[in-house]
Amino acid sequence: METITFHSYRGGVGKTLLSVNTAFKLAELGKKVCLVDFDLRAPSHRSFLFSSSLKITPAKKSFTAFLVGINGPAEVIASTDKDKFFCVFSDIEILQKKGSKVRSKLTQHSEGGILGKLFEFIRYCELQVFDYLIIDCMPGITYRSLDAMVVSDKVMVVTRPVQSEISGLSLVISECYSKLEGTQLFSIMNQVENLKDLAQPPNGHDVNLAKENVQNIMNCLQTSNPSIPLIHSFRRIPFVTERIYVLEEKDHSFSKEIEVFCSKLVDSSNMRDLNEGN
Amino acid sequence: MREIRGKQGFEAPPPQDLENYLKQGRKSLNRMKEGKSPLKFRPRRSISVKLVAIAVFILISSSLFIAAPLISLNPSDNNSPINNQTSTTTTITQTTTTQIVIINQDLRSIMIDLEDILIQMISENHSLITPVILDGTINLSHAISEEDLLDFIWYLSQFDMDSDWWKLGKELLTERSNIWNESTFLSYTIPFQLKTLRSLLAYPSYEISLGITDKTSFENTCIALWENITRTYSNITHFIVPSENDSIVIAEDQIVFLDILAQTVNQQTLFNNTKVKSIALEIINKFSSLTANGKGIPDSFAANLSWLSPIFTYKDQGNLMLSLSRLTSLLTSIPIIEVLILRLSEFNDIFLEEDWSVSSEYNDSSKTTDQEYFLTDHAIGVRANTILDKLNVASYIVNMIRTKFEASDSSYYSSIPDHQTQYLLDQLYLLLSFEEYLVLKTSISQTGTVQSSASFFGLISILSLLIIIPVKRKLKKSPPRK
Repeated sequence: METITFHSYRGGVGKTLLSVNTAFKLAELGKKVCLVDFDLRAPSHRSFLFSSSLKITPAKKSFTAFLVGINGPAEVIASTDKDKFFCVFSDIEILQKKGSKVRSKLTQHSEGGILGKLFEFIRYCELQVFDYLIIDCMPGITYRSLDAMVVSDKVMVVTRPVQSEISGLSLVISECYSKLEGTQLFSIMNQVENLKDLAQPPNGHDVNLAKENVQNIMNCLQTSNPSIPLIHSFRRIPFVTERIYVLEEKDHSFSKEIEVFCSKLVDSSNMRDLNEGN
Repeated sequence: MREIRGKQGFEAPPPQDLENYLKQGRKSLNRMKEGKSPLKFRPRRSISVKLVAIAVFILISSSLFIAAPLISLNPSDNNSPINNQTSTTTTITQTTTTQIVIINQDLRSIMIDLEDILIQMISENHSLITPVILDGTINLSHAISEEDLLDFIWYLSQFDMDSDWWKLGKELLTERSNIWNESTFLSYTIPFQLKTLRSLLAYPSYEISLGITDKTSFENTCIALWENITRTYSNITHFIVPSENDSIVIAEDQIVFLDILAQTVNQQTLFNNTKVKSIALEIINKFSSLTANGKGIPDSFAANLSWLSPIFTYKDQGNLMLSLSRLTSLLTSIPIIEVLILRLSEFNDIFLEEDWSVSSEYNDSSKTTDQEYFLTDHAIGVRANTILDKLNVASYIVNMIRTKFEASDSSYYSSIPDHQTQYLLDQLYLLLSFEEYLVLKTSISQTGTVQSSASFFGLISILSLLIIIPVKRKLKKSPPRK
């Protein structure tokens, strides 16, 4: 089984959209996949998936409840009518209802406890013979996002080619990514402007700026130590919504890109190195 | 920085702790894969003066009460763990409690001697590992063979992570990896290939820093060995009957294969986890069939208890126990362990009665199965009983070895030039068994200390709170002065 965490320096880069669609596509490709919403601060998978045409048999408990030791891993995995696609939801109700001990366990370092629960969950998934465990974790550097990255085989660093991203990304690379051991790092550039997608052609200044942003992000990733290879670039989707595009709109360009991306992931499970495709 | 650090209640480690948190996380992960608990992370935070004052007050108050119980809880001659043996060995207890003296200091001094011998043999430039020039000529008898070097690395990898011995093994594997290639190893026998692969997988891939060419070669060697071994394994017709045909694996080889399966977690990108688990389960099921009555283990024991059967000796069972303990990182439950524990208990009783015959002279055949039990057999006994928390039996064997050390004295420590590498490996293995034994002994002693002193500590804490809380309430309720 391969554990892949989707992480980003900040929110709004499209991490959830990518992780959900990737997980679903992998399941369509015949892999048994478990998707975990590990953004404990702002969990969004529940609304995302329940608003789709997917039929979900809810689990008894949330992932948050499992992390604080209320129940076992079997009770948090929800099945769907896609027989190889399973999902795990988090909620913030426990944070709001329970006492300070539970809150601090989830929000603070927890003395290794949450890491232990993540490991327990991964072991359980391995026994259930999952092929992939996809973790969508909260952005930025928090104890929980670090835990997710430590337990993962691969971390997908999702970036957007905007100017404000560059300095933050450099900081996260130097403070966090460069210090991860035993985990393979890859980057995904999301929401890359494509002239063909625009209704009106932009002015030359904006085009140059967009190209410069892409180049700066690339430089940032390549010059980091170790360098973080770019595995895929996704074009910006106009009027993007929270949808499982690979389920609802199979002919959409984004769905096609997800398919290419997932093929690379599947190939990389048998390969040692992952090459940039774009 | 705020936008990338924790907000809305979700905290982040301060910059000075972040790297440490990640490193501890990785270490915890490795520990959990071995079935151990994760490490506890404690950030470097300032503590309020008030808390410090309360903590100091409680500490000083309780220390006076803790001191007395600590003395009585230290293991001593009269309080030997042997006294706590089960009823099946009460006769042994009565005859041996006066003889057996478990003194940590003696064992530690033996371990220091062992380490000195080992360090002397390998020296800074690993003189045992590279040919040594003596009197102008190269003395190749001092050069360790590839097989023994790999065994050496395997033993070193079992020491505590980040200890000097552990690091030595990692260093050797990294610096010597370029000499190992598949074309050489594939010409050797299957038992040798098994031991080779086990040693090559001894350390996690991220601990071995190799250049791209060496790394590729190293990984190719691992894969080639794996494929050859699994191909042979699938073709075997006999499970454990020793045979002249090297392609048929015997019990000892199966146990090495289990070690390999457990170690595949160190090179996760090279091995299919599902296949590894299925092979492990298959081997374990075969061993399980052996432990049934009438198969492999005789129901009654011969008068000469030196070995039980040519198939599944005590040493094999001990090694199997150690291998299965490593497999817990791969498989969550292994029912055969319970059976082995029961058998081990039965064997222990019998061997204790026969006083564990030990060869009085150390010789180079200690690795071979023979009529007498040799040093490594005893070391295996120490390790197997240690991992089962059978402190009493482990202590008995440790003391047996200790007294033999002292009796043999100079003849035990004398070097045997033609067999130095054998000597090196057995001494290292013995040191490993002592290290593990001491860890168990220390943890049991500390548990006893903590349990009894905790009650006094709790009493003092309660008394302190009973004083502090009423005083605070009284201060709150007192009317303000006009």
